[in-house]
Amino acid sequence: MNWSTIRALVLLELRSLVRDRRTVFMSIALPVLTMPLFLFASSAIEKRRQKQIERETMRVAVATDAPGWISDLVHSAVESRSAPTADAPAPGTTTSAVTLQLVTGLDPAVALRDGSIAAYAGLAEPDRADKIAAGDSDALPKPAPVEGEKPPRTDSAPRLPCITARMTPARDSLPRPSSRHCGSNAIGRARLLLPSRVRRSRFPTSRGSTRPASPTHRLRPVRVSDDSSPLSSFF
Amino acid sequence: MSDESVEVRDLTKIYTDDARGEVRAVDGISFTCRPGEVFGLLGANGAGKTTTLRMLSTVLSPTSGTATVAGFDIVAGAADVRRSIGFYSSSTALYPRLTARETLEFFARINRYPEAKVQARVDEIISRFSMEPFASARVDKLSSGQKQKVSIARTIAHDPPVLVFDEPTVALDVLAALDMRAVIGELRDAGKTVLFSTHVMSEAEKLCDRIAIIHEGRIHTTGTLASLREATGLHYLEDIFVHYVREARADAEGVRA
Repeated sequence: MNWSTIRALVLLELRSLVRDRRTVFMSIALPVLTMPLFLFASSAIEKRRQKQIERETMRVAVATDAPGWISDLVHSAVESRSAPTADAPAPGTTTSAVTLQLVTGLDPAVALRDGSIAAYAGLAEPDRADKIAAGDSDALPKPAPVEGEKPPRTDSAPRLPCITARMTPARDSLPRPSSRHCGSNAIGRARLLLPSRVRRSRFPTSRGSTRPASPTHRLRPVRVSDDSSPLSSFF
Repeated sequence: MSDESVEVRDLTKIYTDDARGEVRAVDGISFTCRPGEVFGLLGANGAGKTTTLRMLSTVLSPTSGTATVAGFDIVAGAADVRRSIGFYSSSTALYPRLTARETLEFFARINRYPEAKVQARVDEIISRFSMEPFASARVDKLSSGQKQKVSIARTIAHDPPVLVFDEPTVALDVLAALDMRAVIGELRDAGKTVLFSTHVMSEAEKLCDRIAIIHEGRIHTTGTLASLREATGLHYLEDIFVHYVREARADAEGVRA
């Protein structure tokens, strides 16, 4: 078979194809019509979902009773987040749907139980975090006793959902504060890696709804990795 | 080198059919055709005419035997054979979305007719078959008669030395059949070899220079109409045909007995 034969065959097939209205419609006209429709629909659904998620208020606490330097980190994150910059709104308003607020005297376990927060992450001091990571169940936080209820036996006591990060105050090695990633500098280049089970159960699902956390849902301690993603981007 | 443009020696085609077992569609036939001759294969339905012509046009491969067409072996030189023949059958399909002109151009090019001469050749054929009014129309928009013309025209588009017509007048009206016969006559006059199969006796009488009577896969006689008349003492081709078929049946029954 030579090139002139191949050319003749190609021309024949192309002519036959182009002159077949049904084929042209199915292969060109239909995709041209439907693709923008699909893209528009996809974009519209995504925007709607985003708005739905934005309407939801997800309160997530970062709790610590650890030594003062962790509190300093949190304070610093709050201040950094609240500091007005040229491209950031005034304090008290939200930009990326994240607002940091310092609250004292709140028992996160109680708040979780009464539904005022959806989750909380406990920042443990290094020694305790190591114990938790090593599987020491005594180091895990215990639920606060509920008034009027008999306290459960120690060995069968339900554990609170717990995310524990091991923090290292390596401030000098951290990058300068960024108005966009407020709090990342103060918290450190540490990222809380939530187990997928936590993400699924406590954060907005793909449909924009949230499900309450189960207080008896025991979770593994979370490891901390050196990652440039800030903590604030996580919420 | 032989003067014959078609030379068939002991050509056999055996099918294996689940219901009938081994079927010898063509059983060791031999004949030759010369340029400028219309050679007719005359036989009843199922005699093996179409199988023979399909083997000669390389559509089917023979079980045994040899054949050459325009000097090319039908097995070893199948591609050359295909370029040297024009095959027409009443059931030959056309490309429905090509115009009549494009169809002729395509078949001329695919059979390697010199590119520089394609347009002139196509114009000549369109003129010959009076296809000007519908040359630019798509084949699927044409009438049956017009399609028939396009089909005959595309058979000769590449000006092949050998033409194979397999029952060409089947399903044609009287005028179209007359036109077909005229075309075959012209091709003979132009020095082409025409292999022609039919079961219509009058057609064979009018057209064929030599006739081979084929029955149940075997050729029982070959010759001009005059020689067949002389051999049988019968005048009409129909009678001659029946004579040979009865003879063949008697032979077959004698063998069985």
